[in-house]
Amino acid sequence: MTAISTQALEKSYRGGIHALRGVDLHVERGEIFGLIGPNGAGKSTLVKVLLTIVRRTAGSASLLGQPVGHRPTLAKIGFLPEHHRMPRYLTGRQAVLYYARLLGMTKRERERRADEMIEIVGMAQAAHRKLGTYSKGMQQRIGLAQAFVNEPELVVLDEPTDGVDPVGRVEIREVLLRMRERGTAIFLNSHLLSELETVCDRVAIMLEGTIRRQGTPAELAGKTKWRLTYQGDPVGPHTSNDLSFEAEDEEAQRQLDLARQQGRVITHFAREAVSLEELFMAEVRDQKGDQP
Amino acid sequence: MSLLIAMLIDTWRELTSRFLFWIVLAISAFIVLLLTSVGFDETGISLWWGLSHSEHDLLRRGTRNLDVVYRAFFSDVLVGFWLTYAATFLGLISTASVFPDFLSGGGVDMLLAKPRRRASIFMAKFVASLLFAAVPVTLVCLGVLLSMRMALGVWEFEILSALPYVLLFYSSLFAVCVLVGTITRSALASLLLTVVIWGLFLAASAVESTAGFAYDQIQEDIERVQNGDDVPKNKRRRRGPPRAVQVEMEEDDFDQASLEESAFDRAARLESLEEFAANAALTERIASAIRWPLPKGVEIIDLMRERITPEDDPNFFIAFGMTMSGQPIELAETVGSLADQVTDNILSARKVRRSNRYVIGTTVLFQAITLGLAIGWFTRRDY
Repeated sequence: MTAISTQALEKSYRGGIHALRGVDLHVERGEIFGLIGPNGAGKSTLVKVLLTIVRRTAGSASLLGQPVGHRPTLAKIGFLPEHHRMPRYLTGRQAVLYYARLLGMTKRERERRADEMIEIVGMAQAAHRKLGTYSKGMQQRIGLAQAFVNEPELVVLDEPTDGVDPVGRVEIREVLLRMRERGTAIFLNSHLLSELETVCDRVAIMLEGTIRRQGTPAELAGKTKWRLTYQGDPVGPHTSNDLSFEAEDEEAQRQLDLARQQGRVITHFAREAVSLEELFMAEVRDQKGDQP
Repeated sequence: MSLLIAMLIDTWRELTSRFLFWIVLAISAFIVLLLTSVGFDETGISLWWGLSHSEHDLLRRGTRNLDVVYRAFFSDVLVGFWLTYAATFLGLISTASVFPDFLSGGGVDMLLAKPRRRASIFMAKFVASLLFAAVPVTLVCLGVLLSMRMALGVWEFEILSALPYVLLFYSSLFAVCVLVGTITRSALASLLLTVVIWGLFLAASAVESTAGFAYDQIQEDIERVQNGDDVPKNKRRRRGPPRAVQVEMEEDDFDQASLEESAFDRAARLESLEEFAANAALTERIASAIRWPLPKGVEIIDLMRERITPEDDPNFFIAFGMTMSGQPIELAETVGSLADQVTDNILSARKVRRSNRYVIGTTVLFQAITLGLAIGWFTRRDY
């Protein structure tokens, strides 16, 4: 069963702004799915439509097999919005308990889970301080704790590492991986592509309200990328003695043989993974029509 | 129910984080403390929990003056002024930002993503926000209840009836504040507009009661003119004895020219008064029509006062003044209601036209419509 499914989802705002233009997306249960796109691509609007914060204009969407807006389903979902503002007068623990109560959890359950999650996100020491005294990173951790407090089947996180230091990012990544092990589906919006690359099972690239590509990073990469470096002048069609190129295995082997036949000493020959950033930039260039 | 409890707890924490809330609470507590420091026995009054005592003929236990002054102080000063106007204004200042903050981006998202109806979230927040008014009013009511028991030796549970009246008054203004805050998402705009609208409510009320009072006065003047009781003394002297005697007098005793002049003046005056009366009646009708859908703040407080102090009792300032000058309250009652004579006659004259059901019903209706608009806006909007 899919965690998130959308078909031809559209959202238009007054003034003719088309934030979503027929979004088709599928997120499976138990996977970490990353959505990437430039500012204004419609990522946050998509999240808001899924969580009933914004109403869709057309199309359909479902969460955990139920149509969007099904209230009992919302109780099984965790959410942390971008630039969230939790009440500053609450302590970290009070904030987690407050959102747990709104989810309809019992007192015993919410206290047990709140303490557990606060421990997991590393905020046990500061849990009784007011949110107003927290740094951005600390607020983000409490935000994550409240998003996971109900042991959700699906968690939607919009820029979860925003404002978090490198150590905190690693810790958050570990939390996400641990939650995936428990079978939670995680939908991640982030502009930190390297971060998504390390945790996501599948990603989608969103541009101007549409999903351009989606799949595993390997699927998206398509042809393998190679790097070949040798000593001496470039041979044959080579423009440099330090080459980086996309090719099938046989073609890469042929390039290596060409350099050897000319007596060059090979110093480096390896398969290179295509980074998410490169894929993303290629899509952006495609969209702008700048592709050489 | 769990939603309401969650909102109540959250709002209580929010209120207690606001400085103004503590100011209002501290002033209310201070007033109650002062009240409880005053005691009465069979001989007079004691201050500062018995540290100082002075004998007084009227301010002693068992006198009617003490009973009236005490009740009037509660209904006119504590509730009628402090809780209704001053504390309400401070309350609005303090809570004007509650809904704009509640609806701010990043905050409202987290609430709307929860398995709760939008209208329920909104109403729970509104009800919880009334804590700002409910807490000081409850404190004052309980404090006064206790101090009356200590001072007068009676449990006057009618005091507690001030709570729903003050809350109704506050909530009708807060509903306006919430509507503006929901639409504009600006605390400043919601506060300013609420205060302006409050001023308009009061102005409409003042116009209506003043026009009504003027109409009544003009009618009395018309009656006097019609009866000939309005002729100035110098002219009356020239005219001779009263009307009843006139018919028995010889015709040549009359100053014919003066009579004709007087009759002419009277007709002109009558015409002018009738025109004034018609204008006053029209103004009152228009003001009344405008006020029909608006909350009846003045009347609500009047209803509360009626519950606590008997209708014929004078207001606090008169009762206190009489007591200090050694006059028993019974003196006022023999002459007639001083409240009617001195300050409240305008409202009293109008009061007969406003039933409790009308006052409360139209105020609740106003609030329901205002909140309905705010909820409609909130539930239909994208965040």
